[in-house]
Amino acid sequence: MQGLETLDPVTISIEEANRLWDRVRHQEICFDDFTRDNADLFAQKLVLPTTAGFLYKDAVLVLMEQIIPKLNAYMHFFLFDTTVADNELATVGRHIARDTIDMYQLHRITATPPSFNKRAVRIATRVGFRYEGLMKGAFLYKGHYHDLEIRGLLAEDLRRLM
Amino acid sequence: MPQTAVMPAMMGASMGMNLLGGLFGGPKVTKIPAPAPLFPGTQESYVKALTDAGVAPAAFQTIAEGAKTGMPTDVGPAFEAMKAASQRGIAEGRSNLIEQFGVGGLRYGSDIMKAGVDYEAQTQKDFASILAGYTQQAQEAAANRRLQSAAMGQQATGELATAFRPTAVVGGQSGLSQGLQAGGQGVMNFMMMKALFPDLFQAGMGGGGSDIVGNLPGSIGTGDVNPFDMQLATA
Repeated sequence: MQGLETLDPVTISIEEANRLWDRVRHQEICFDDFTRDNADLFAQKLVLPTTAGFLYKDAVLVLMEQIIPKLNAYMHFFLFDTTVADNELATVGRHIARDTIDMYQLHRITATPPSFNKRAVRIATRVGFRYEGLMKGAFLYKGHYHDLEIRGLLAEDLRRLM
Repeated sequence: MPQTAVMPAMMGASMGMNLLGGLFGGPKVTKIPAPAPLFPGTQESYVKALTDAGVAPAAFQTIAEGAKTGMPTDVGPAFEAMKAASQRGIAEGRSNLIEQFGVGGLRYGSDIMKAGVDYEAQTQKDFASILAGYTQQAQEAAANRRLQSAAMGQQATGELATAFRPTAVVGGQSGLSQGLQAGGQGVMNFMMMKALFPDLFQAGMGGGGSDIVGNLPGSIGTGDVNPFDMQLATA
């Protein structure tokens, strides 16, 4: 897909790394109170062997985290450019989901958008994630507990969508 | 005779045998053939069996590679980040020194401004260093995992070279084959020693003869006589 590239923490330049963090850390809605503005945690997450990172047009970072081959990975969006349309983001999400499923022979992908983040929920739905449940009060955001939706995308469902 | 005295007696006997061998045969030069598989088919199926069992072919060479190179990780990005951070530290240290020596005036104002304006840049620079540090740690951890898994594979199966003709350059055997070979040698030594010095093996043998065999030099175990084991054998 045009504009989609993988993020390699080994080969990334200093300037690119700094720029990435500068953009990511301003996306407050992507972080809970523990991980917000925590460069150490974000760097650790990037270099984990169970994480795969994707960048799209300098507008969005998508991390596939906690990858368990042949089973599951968690998808997280970090949107820098809020002007990108939901449909375009959904297409990006599907491509990344397909690539990750192929690469690690995953059975499914999970997304856990906070209930109050309506745009994240909408994008997840458009990618193809189905609602599976709710984790009550599992997201501490600016001193308040919020629910996390559990959404799943099975590999066989994604094949039908693409 | 105390059992701990057995070792010097055996060493003396061994030296004597070597001396005799030298007298009778003299040094003999044996032409060593080039390494070649004794049973190419077996070698092939051996590799296949290992690979099927989950031992990566790369593991066969990893130990040697690790010994030669230490398997260094790519510290390029980490080094660049550290260099950038240290350059920054050097520059700030210089300005601090200037102020310590009382060269003030406008410099105070400019430094304060610089500190305020550069705050964001400094925060960013820190992230590059942090990321580089974790990247290097992750690479080293991966290299360690690779080395450990290779060592496990190698220990479990032995070097492939054991399937070749013995040559001067071929070394390394699996623990199992070494143990079997050493054990066989130990039994032979024991039989020979028993024949030469029957008195040594009379006292305290009881039912523990096999224990003593297990502790003869070159036998299975540490290869050395352990006085504590010997005591156990005689108890």
